[in-house]
Amino acid sequence: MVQKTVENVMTKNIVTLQATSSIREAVTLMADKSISCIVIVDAVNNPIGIITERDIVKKVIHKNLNPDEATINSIMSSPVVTISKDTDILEAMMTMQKNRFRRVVVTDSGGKLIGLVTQTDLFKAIVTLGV
Amino acid sequence: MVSQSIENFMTKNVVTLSKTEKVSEAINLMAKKSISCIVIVNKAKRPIGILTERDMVKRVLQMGINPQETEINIVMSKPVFSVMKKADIFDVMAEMQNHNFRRVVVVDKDRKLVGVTTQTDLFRGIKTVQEELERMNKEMKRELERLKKFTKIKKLD
Repeated sequence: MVQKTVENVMTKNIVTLQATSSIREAVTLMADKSISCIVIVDAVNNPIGIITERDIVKKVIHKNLNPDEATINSIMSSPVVTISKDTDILEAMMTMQKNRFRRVVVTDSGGKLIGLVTQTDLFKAIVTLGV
Repeated sequence: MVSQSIENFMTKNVVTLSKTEKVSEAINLMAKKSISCIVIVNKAKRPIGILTERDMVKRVLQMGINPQETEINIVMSKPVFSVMKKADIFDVMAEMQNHNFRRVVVVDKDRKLVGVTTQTDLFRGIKTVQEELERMNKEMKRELERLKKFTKIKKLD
């Protein structure tokens, strides 16, 4: 099997927001860009949480929360599980399976957000590389 | 990896609804069961559409429709991409990648719904194959140790 790190396959162009933004902002970004999640960062780009399409279905639509009034910190999953950019992609896959995650946040050696690995990214890597 | 048909990598217990039911029913099911999609079927159990978490974000919340009053028909994605249950897993993976799908609906030869394969199901399949390879590797190592002992005894003789 080909040994590759998550840095080679991750999505680098990640959409982020701060925890004090409104849920509406997150929903608008997710809908316009067709993305499955938004990473929530603090003022110095440390990942502190994540919100996914599932969070929107469960905590906003199902609970009838007003997205214009509530802020992201009331629904985000926090803390967020991160892996280092040097992690082997198979190990990343195992981490995701163990935690039942469909994505995981990637950080550099200083803990700053640099990417995101989704099932789609891993899927592409597997299909392309034939892992 | 040994090639197999997609039916070995699908979730068989699929949550379905009919297109005339209300969107609120779909939201309840999705939220309570933590599922990423609901397959919409006709009376003959043939898939005619799909409702995903993304549809909920885009077409329900963002467009501001009333889930209690709107029928699923209005917001579901249609037609739905389906594959035959005997289709090869690699062909399906290639199709999914080409179309940017995160899941496919699986049907039998009468086009009736038999399952759904998500990226999660495919990864589970890959893990199973990897575990099998590791098990075989361990077994071979044990066999090698056994043979080594056997050789030593022979030498002593």
